[in-house]
Amino acid sequence: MKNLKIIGNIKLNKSSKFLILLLASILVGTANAAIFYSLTMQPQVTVSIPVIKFDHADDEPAGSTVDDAWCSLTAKSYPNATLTYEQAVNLTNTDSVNAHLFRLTCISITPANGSADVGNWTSIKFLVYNSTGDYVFSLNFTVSDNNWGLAPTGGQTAYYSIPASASWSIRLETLSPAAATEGKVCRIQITVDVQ
Amino acid sequence: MKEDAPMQKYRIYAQKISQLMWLVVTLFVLLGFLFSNVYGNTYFALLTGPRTTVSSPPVVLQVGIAGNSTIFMNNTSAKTSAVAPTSTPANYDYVLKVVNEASDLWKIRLKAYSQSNIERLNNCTIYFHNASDDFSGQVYIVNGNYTQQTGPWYDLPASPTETYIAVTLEADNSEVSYINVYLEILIPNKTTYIRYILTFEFT
Repeated sequence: MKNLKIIGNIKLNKSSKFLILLLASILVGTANAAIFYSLTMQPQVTVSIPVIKFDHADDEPAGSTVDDAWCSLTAKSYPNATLTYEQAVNLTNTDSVNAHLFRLTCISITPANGSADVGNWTSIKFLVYNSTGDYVFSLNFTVSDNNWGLAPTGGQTAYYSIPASASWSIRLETLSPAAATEGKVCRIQITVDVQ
Repeated sequence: MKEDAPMQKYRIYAQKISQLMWLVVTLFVLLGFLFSNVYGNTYFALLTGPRTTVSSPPVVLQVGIAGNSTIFMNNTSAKTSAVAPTSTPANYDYVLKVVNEASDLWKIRLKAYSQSNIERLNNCTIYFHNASDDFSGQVYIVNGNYTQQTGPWYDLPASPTETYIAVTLEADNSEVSYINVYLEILIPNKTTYIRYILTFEFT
């Protein structure tokens, strides 16, 4: 009680009172922000085709699976020979009005850096070509001393704009060294981030 | 000492303006929180999971019966040496053999992609033929210049089949020329192809 009295007797000028009011408003604002956020987390969920989706392409390797939002390519790699799938998989913008931005990001790769098995590949490249067959950008994996070197550094490309209704192709190029061991498998997971 | 009335009035105005400014700042802070909730990007990620397996080559190279050829590890690249005479053209039949080990039909062709000192070659023809003597000219050099760098597609039937790479040569002098060539192996009706590297050394 005594403490409360002391607090009650503190004299505040108007500026201090406004400062307290301002701090209180920030607190209230934060609380409100949390409430608004939780409201936006209750969306109506509708099953629909992604704005940019995977599509089957002419050179889809045998045994691959291509769905709208997920694809698994089963490619080969030959010793001392470059294997090219010019149109391994297509990316199609299903929006007939607007262009959309997308990029490629590597999220995992096995065998991991440092493993002797990495030496069974020289390079694995994903090259993106537009509808007219012009090169746009690439995400490359090149081996040096049993380590994967990613280009661009960090394994993430810039965003590129795919026009409305356009279909672009991903070219896959693989190359193994002459002494590569048959049967070795490399798995790469790449996300196609769309805005 | 007592303030005069206008001064008091001005002081009250000044206080009110100060209060008003604080109020505006407070409102801006609140509005800032409000807008931060309505701003955002639509963003989603598709996923692709390629799996690459090291496989044995479906088509392999073997040494020929003419010239001097070296086949490198896994039979997917080779170096061939042959002498280019200065008097009359020499025909080397054949310097390399292309063997299909798969049950698939392929199409093959040669594409010259780099060279050195070819100016001395009066005549250089690199061509395919098969056991029935079918001929397909792939790379032509006449008087030191390419007249054809990329050959037409040539059928390599399903295993067991083989195609021969032969060379006709004539040079101006006894220097050395190098021609680096891709042997391209294409799946019919697709744009999936393999590239082997062949090096021709003509002395």
